[in-house]
Amino acid sequence: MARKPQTELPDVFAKPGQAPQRNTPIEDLPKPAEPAPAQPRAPSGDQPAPAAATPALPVPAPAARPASPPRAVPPPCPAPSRSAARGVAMLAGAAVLVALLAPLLEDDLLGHYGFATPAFRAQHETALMLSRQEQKLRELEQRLNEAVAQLTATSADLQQSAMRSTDGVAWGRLLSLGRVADALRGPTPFAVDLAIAKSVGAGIDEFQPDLGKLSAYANTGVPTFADLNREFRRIADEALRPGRGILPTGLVRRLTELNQWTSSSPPPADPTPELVQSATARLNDGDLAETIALVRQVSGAYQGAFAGWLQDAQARVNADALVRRIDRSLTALARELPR
Amino acid sequence: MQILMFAKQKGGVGASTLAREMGTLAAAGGERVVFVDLDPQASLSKWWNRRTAGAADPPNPALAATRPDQLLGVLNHLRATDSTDLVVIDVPPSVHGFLLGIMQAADVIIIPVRPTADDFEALPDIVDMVERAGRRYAFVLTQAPTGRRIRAVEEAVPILARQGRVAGVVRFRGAFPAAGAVGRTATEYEPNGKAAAEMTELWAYVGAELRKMHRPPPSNLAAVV
Ligand SMILES: Nc1ncnc2c1ncn2[C@@H]1O[C@H](COP(=O)(O)OP(=O)(O)OP(=O)(O)O)[C@@H](O)[C@H]1O
Ligand SMILES: [Mg+2]
Repeated sequence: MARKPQTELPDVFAKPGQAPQRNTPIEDLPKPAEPAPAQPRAPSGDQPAPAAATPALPVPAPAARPASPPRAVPPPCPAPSRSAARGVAMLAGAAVLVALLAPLLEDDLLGHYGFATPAFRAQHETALMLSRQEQKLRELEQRLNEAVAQLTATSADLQQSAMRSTDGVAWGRLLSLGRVADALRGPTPFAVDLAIAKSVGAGIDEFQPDLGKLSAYANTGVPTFADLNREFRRIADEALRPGRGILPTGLVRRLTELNQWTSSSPPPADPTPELVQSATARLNDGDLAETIALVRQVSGAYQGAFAGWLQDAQARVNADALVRRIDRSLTALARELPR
Repeated sequence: MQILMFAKQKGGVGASTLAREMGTLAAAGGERVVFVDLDPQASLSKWWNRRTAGAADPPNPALAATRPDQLLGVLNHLRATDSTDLVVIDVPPSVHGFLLGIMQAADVIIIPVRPTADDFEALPDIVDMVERAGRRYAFVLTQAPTGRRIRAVEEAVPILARQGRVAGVVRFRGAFPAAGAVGRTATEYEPNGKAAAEMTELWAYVGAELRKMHRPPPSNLAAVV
């Protein structure tokens, strides 16, 4: 491009070597009007987006270069009457006082008077989120406590009458453990069964470490193999379909282009499609553990998509293992019972 | 007149460095360039002072000293007087609503980001804001460790590419701070160095993006109609 003649410079331009060494922080600006509505999104292809007109603001008198850091200047106002002038003077005095004290005021205090400082807002949002979560937890806990109290009362009655019979204790343990195992087999919440098993001394403590790993599922149940199978197919389908979901059409091209920046060798092929294919075959064989091992190796871009599934699938593997252990324990208990 | 703007949520990502490099490369290509420094710390302005101190001719790139809230007016003024081809706007790390208004006037927005978890965690807010502005944007992965197969880079690039365009990868190179200290760019300081090569390629990309967004000035438009 040919060098164009530099036209007469408007006086917004700094003199060589004399640009101001500080600018007004945006946070200190007078509060802006509502932001203009967003322009329509630029198309994802390579066509130029529709040109947006520059927001039409009145051209201010060209900003003279201030010698000292520029400061916000209040807008000029019409000459006030005498009584108004006193009011204005008082207001101005108050404003000066507030301005002088502002740096000394804590965020809390500013927040209390409705000044939304960034720190105050962040603190406020976090507090709000925490209090909502706490409330939810309290509600859940209360519901669970009610259910446990009711069931414990019932089971205590049962237990007492069972105790009166000679082999009551063994029966009680057998029944309650069986209920936990049943709940773990299906997608059934098991918090209540677990509480009962503990209250009747069913020897559940020996399974505590494994149960701990499943605690996140106590109120929802662990997804079944069928659930996981369905969900896996949905995610894989979504993730690997070109131009959709995780793999946008342009990704491979952009990566190839980008690789020219980093090296001249061809881009390393992404192993994810093959991994997902093998994982699907393992899932068809019913081998969840092997499926998990394969899915754990998908490349970074896909890990987010499979993360939830991996967690659920691992919980299912853990639950199945636990159920097998409980079943063995049940068999042993059953042997103690008289024929 | 076109506007190239930077956007970032974290400090130190290399925005001012890229602003200098892109601005001077555009000027070297014959464009009349004006820097605008919205950062109160004014590191772009200070670098420009080191660069231009004692100069007799009006420097290109020039620097427009404007308070942030007068910027839109200044931009209109520059456009109206046809005194500028490219305005390069450097910013403080912020998602302040004020910047949204400026972004809406930009032709291309560059989001520099380092390949670290901290930088990536801070990305959603700034991307959200840039997308609300509805302008063309691209990421630049900055200060990436050197080496061919660096895991952080290999993982970071696809993540960025899923979200938007990736203009390029800039490696960690000593030429940037060394050049900055004497008011130069890496391209001027070590014209045959690796940093210069990366910057020339990046400018090729950014320049092409700007050309895609180029619209004829209103007078030409009137002549066509
Ligand atoms: N690619 C790079 N390689 C090595 N050093 C770099 C690179 N990019 C920037 N730096 C150095 O990192 C520091 C921060 O860079 P720069 O000032 O450009 O970032 P910034 O995003 O503008 O920071 P700030 O938020 O302070 O304005 C500077 O010392 C700069 O010289
Ligand atoms: Mg900076």
